[in-house]
Amino acid sequence: MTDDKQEHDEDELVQDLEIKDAEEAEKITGGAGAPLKSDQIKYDS
Amino acid sequence: MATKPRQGATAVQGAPARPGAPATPGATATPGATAEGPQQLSACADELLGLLRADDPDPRVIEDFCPLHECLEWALLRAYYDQAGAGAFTGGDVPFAATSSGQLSEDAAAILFASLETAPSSDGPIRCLELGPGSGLFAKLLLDDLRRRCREHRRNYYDRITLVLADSSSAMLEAIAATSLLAEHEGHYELVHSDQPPARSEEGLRAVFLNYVLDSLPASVVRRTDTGIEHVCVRTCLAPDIALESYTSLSLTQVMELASAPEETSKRRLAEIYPALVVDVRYEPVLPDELPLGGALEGILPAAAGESVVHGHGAIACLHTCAERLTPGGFLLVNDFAYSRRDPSAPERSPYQVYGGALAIGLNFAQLEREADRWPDISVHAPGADEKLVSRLIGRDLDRATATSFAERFDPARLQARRAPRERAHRLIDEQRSGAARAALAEALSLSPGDWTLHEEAASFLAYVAKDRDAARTLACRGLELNPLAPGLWNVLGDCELHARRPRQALECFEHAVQHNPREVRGRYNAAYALTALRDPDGALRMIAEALALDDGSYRERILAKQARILERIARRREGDKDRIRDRARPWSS
Repeated sequence: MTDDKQEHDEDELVQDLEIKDAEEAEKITGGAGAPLKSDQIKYDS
Repeated sequence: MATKPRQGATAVQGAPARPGAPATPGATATPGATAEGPQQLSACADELLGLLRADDPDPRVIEDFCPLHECLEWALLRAYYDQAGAGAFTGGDVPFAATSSGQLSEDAAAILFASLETAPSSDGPIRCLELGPGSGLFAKLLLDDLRRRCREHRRNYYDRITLVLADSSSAMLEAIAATSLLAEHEGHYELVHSDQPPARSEEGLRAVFLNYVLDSLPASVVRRTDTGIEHVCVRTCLAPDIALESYTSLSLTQVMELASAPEETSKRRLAEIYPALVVDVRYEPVLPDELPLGGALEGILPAAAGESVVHGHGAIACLHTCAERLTPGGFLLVNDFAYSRRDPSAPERSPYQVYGGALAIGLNFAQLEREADRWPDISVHAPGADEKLVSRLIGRDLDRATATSFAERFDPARLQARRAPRERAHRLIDEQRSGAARAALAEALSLSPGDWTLHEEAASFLAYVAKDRDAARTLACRGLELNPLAPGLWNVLGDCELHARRPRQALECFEHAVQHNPREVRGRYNAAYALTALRDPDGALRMIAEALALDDGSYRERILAKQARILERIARRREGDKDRIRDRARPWSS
């Protein structure tokens, strides 16, 4: 593989991981903690 | 509006489930259908229609109304666990972190240790039991903690202990054995396939742990009426507009035959059509003597007509059997959720909950305590109310030290103090105050070093928000030592490996995530990244296809975007290859 191609692949991986990290970071919010069985009761009522 | 007992189900209280279905005399109609005026007229019309069509039974009824604890749903409950295995928990269908995060096991180990400290001096065996061990994680973390305490205090309790893990689902026990989760504790546990607590043994049981398990034992939901009592009955039907052949090769007649078969194994063959079933729920009159342990209804029925309560006959029977097996000084530790009484004026709701394919009913703790108080030498200990989980210690000739340990460990103020930094971190993350959130997470970890869910949360924060991947990696590894089955921890660790340009190791992590949760979407999506980095676009596309097939929609857009990038890359490579081949031939053709 040429150096150019390797560098291109590397750039693509970096871009890919940036996209992925941004997606995961979006999912990290305060949240309500671990789900409980009683949550469904609250939801239902 | 009436709520649905499970997705796609119809919760009906005495009203016709669908046009033509017979109404129930004396039962209360669906909220909204009982109001005076046009709705009342409509209810009358429906009843008349029902009478006119009485000879024309609904062909989609698989099982007619029968008591909740005898209905098809109960029979299919075990089939669900048999099919899902540990995936029922790791896949997120059945909540289990509250009982298996490492915090409850730490508290349980502390109480067991306190209890053993007061036991008569002996080098004999110590037998304990966990009923319904689920993934086996609580057992693993309990034994971890007990071993640590014994080493610290130079006691031999860990060497003498056998923790019996008894489950009615052999598939769940096989899953525990297959994961090697308890490999470190070989010789200190036994897997027992049983519907009941193991038979009485000479040495008796020092402790029995019942976490989120009594809620899946047969129960009735009852209410007082002006003339007597009623209990919930359930009818199971094929959902409208469902093509049975899409779910099974069984004919409708065969399905009916299996549903009406007396033995549970036949009914369980219907698990494959579970998603195609809907249930109707209504109250029917019943005499107390017609219900199992009907005497236990005494004193638990609300004074007001219409307000429903759980009659947990399965839970009472189980606790009684377990209590009989206890040694003097032994205890049952119950952790579960409570059935919350419904104000008759509040909207109707499902009398039970469904997680994946597993049915559960919150416990009537007042009834359980009332019953246990009648058993000789048994005492019930209740801490103050904790909103997350309801805990009870039921002891036989219990000593003060064990009771005190329970009271301290399950003191609501202590539990809340342990949760406080984590909750503060949640708020700070929402406010995008990363530095303060990190400090709060560190404080939370110092208070709960054995909680793998907290490790996962903190590792994710460090990896994706703080972008401190070395710290994230360390926490993910530590979390996996506590729970090697956690797909989320494997995913974070894999992402850290990808960033460190170790795609092969990353792929191994994502494969672990998929192994422990067969329906894992994120792990497959992540594996597509690792395979792309390993220059295996075909493998990456296969992972994308699997992820798409399993996804409930939450990952769809990002999976498709990744697929588009892989395809673009493949096209670009082919174009480049073509150009090079053509250029290579050019000198010869000129």
